[in-house]
Amino acid sequence: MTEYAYYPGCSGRATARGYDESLLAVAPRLGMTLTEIPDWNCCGSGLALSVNQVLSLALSARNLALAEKIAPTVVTPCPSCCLTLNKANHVLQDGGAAAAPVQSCLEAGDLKYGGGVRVRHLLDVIVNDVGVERLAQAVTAPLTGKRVAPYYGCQVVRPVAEGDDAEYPHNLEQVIAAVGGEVADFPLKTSCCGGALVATRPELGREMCLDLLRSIGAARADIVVTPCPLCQVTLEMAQHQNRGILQGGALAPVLYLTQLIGVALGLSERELGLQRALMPKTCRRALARTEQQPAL
Amino acid sequence: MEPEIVFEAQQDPTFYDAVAALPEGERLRSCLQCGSCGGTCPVARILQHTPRRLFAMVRAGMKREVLTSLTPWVCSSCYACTVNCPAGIKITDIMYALKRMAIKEGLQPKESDANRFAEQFTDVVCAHGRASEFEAMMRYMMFSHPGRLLGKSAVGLEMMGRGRMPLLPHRIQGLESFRRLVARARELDEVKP
Repeated sequence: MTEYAYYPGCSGRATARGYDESLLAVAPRLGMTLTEIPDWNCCGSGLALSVNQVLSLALSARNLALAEKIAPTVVTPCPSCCLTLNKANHVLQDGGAAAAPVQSCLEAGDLKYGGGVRVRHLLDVIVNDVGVERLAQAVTAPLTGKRVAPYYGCQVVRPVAEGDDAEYPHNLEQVIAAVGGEVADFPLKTSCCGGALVATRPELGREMCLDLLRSIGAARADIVVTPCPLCQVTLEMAQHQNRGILQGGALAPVLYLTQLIGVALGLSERELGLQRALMPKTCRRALARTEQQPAL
Repeated sequence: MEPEIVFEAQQDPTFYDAVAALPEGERLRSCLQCGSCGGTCPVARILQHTPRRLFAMVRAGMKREVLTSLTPWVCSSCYACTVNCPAGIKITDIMYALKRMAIKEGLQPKESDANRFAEQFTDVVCAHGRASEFEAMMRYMMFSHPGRLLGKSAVGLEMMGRGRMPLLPHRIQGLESFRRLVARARELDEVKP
């Protein structure tokens, strides 16, 4: 078993509870021991960084300091948290002029960080630490015949595609193959869903989502898989709100990475938080193992 | 697009240097004006100023126009421009820096109040130690965007029914020391609210 310090991110306890639940259900079966960082705080994401840079770095630094006490590697399912924590980690590990005010904030909070932590995204850990061979061996209910669209979103591949190829990412495709599914390739797999614009520019966000969902529909997907909690909720809400004008693969259920894996490991709907889907019937139908549809 | 004429008297000759002095700003001096940024930008479809144009405006000392531009505030942080910039400019990070500069100068972006959302979200995080989407959305939309709130209410209720939208914020335990850390950060930052 490999030990990781687990940073769920705020979404893991709210909109993305199904991600947190399915990850905790799947992890022991893949040889991962996750210890939640005690009393972790919000990283502030891009919003705090838009307001105050020292604050943004200090929010992440507190988490790094708390994580350093329990394990050398932090794993998080949220690409935005991963990027935000990494920005602070690089500043503090470099120890340049930008690190001094952040260290001062840590002192004010009675904390110390020695720079000994590495922050990684869950997808990188599953593909490169657990390995797709081990994942494939753990599969008991392969997703045979299911077309799965790999939706990366932005920040798991940009600005840095840790543990993958930035130009041609294929970690998700490897996971889909390992769980016995078929890849439903679509050209917008690393395009932005506009999740950050849901509150402030809803009409633009909607357009971006519809572009994506139609591209997924054209790929005749049965299921969409994403490693990003914000992408998941953005696409799922867009499907729910536009279900009258979308059809077929554009309404394929959007699963978190670990929900897809969990289904293939034979875990139940409740263990994976699948009952929390906004359109649970569509989800159940897509995951049902019926007679194969004839290929078009 | 209407042509803009900016007279020398309206330019701020120190602005280019001030932006270059921001975190990741120095590389802006190597902008080739190639337009790769706008070409890859998913929100360019609604922008008056693509990043390329915005940076030309920075060079021209158009401080007020740059700092009230919608561009940084509608940036969705997808980092497509950053990875595609042939000059290696960290464009997304510069957008963040421009947002902070605009807040510091008390300038409101045109056709947007996204600055208010960023500040309110940050205040929620600083108060509880955790984000609360419900509280942040309510604060932002209740009075200024009741229509948006209404449009989201059906799906919001569905989210609540599935345990995905807690009404009460999670609070961290070590709030006292957390608030000291926040207070120090507010003191030390380049931007003071």
